[in-house]
Amino acid sequence: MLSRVADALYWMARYSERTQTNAHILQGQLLNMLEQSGKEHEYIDHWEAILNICASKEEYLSCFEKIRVNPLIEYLLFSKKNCNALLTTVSAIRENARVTRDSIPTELWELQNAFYLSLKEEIMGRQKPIPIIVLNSFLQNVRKTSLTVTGLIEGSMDRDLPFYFMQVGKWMERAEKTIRMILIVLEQHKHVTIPMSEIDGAFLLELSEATESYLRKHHQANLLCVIQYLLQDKHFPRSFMFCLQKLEEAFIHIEKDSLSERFLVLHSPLKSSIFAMMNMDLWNFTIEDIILLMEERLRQCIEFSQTFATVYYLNEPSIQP
Amino acid sequence: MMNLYESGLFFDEMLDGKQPKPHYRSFYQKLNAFSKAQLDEKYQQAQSSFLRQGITFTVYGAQGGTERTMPFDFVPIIIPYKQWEMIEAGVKQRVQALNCFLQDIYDKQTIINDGLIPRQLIENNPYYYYQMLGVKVPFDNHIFIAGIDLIRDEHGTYFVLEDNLRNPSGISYVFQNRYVMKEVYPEFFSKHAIQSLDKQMAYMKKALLAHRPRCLPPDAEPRAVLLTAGMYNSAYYDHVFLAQQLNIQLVEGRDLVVQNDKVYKKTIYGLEQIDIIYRRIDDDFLDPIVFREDSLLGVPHIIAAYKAGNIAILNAIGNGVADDKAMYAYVPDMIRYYLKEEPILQNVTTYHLSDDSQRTWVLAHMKELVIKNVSASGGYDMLIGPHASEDEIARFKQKINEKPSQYIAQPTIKLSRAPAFQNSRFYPCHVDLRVYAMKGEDINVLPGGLSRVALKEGSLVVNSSQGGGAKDTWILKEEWQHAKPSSRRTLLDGKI
Repeated sequence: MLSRVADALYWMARYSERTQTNAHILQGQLLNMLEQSGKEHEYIDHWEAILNICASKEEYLSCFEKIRVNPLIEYLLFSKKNCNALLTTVSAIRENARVTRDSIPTELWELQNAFYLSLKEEIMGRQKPIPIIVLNSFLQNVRKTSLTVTGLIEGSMDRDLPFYFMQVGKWMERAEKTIRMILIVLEQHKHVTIPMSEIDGAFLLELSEATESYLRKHHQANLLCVIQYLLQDKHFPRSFMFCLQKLEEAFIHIEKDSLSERFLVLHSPLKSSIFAMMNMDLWNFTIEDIILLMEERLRQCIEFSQTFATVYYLNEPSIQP
Repeated sequence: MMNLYESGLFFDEMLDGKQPKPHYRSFYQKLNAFSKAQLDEKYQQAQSSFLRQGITFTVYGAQGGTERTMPFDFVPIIIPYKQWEMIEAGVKQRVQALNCFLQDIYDKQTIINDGLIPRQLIENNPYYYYQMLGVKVPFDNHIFIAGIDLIRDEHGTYFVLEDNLRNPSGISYVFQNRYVMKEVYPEFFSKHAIQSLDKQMAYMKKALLAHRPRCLPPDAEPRAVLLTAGMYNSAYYDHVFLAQQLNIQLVEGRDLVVQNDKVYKKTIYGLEQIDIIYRRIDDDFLDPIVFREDSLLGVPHIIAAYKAGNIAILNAIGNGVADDKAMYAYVPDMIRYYLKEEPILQNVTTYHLSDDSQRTWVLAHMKELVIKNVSASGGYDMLIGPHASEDEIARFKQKINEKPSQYIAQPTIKLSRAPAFQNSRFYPCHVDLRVYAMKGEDINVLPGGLSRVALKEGSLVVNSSQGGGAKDTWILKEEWQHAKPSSRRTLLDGKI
């Protein structure tokens, strides 16, 4: 497989994952906002956390004076100044799909293309601000399309190199995002004096689409238990541990030879990460400790994706926003 | 009976006066069974199918290019078998002669030495590459794919309008038009036995792989790629389609690298050598070391690998000298010279404006002629005399006087028409036909080709960048040419 194509598939999967997660977060917040008043502290705090998870607060504040809902929605969804805006990531997915059309199922390309065209026609042509009911249905549509895409990939793609490069992109993005969510939420509670086991973890569960799955297994939703779940659960598809296991699986399929140099370069750090994560006992940690730990993990994720790119020569220019 | 229009002064592909021609009768009957609402619905369905699949081309403009789908018109051009036999033979003959010409002028140059074509015309031609003199190409074949554009005059006689021997595009549309036609208008296929396109890609692949570079060991299987300029190229869809159908990798210049006169592609596991490149970028952009140094699309040193016989590049480099509008006039002579045959397909009379007496005559008869820039394509820099204003004529006269060898003139031909259905109504539109020939060890002509239609009412320009559209082209199998309405057989795309 051409390095350029591998790179495009990897990024297509990353942007796909990013789009889906951001759409979920934004949709949830838009609906929550309806029953909260503008003065409530939590409601603005949540927007701030979301801004940091889906984009960057510093970058936003370099364009706008303060966090206000309408400009923020515009920024997160459509602004050209935001390289993670939903419109930008949807367009990057489509462009990457376009240059890899000969490596992906035709229906996958058609789906991404049709979605992009409908987004341009139905949403971009509208007068701003877009009513919440329209935004909600649009975000729902983004999520539905993502689910269809996932199904199409799972159900129709050969278990071959293109498939596994997409898998790496997806799990790498998801692993990084889960850590980022935990980190941002923890930072918001940095100055709170009560212990983590007494802070409500519902917001983090909601951000990470884990509410349903978590509540089926656990009764208490305190922040510490939730973080533990998001880091260590082996069966929840959005947990950090699950993502690492999936990455390991993909590398085994890409390399086939477990003694090759390429495999060892990738596998060693991954294996030690899995091991460290399995043996971590969060109950002995303070908030500051976990924040440091999450920062370290985030840095490792970024380094790891760079190693992956170097090993497979994915450094050719590609279509990224 | 549905009343379309009256064919009038022009030759109409479908109608004789108000009545359909015999080979269009069964189609016409089916057409009458549809209501206007049904046709509108099908029309929308067909257009959106192209959009959904991303079958678009790019119109270059001030804002970096707009993506458009080529409008599709469902009324096919139907060609009876006998007529097609003549076209097929004519195209083969022409491609054969053009290939002999290319082989000759980059080697012994007998046609020049024998005084048949002025030396100047070749040596001053911007597409004649001295770098290619004496370079051996696989089995002396310069033309892998040719697109020969045909038109018909008011009597229905076919003329060759243009030969495209560089990067003729549009083959994907031929297949997609047929696919959409079958999907959206299946009713029309019953009672028609049409030559299928099914085997064409296999022929094309065989022709492609026949171009083994000189240094490839006889037992090695050649590795081929399709070189595209990338997704912003106007014909990107064509490239994707062909790479998929031929089962070869679609690469960009930046995916390739030359080391020790060998060409490699950059893969995730390192470099892998390749042997055949079906390139869809122009000569000038192929190698920044030899041609345009500002080219970002090409591969440095690829020409050295080509000359060393380590890579085959298709179509061969330097083909532009043969499909130039000025060289066009000499193709019938080439056929007589190389093949010792009379041309089967006629040329449109062409006046060379570098010739003093021809120029004087042309300048006096601008109103009756079409003037074309020999290097331009896509309907650009041309003057259609009968439709031109005095100002435009004056401007072209000036251009001709400044650079006479840059222009040719041809009589205006009353281009044939065919019905098109757009905006809920039928109206007559001018059409032409691009026929594709693929040349490996032998020549195969794709049955049908791309019928292009000038959808702007009254327009003569069929080019897609100027609002042109496309139609499916049916070549009838002889035995079913006049299938009886009582026939109970269901014939789908030629298969019983």
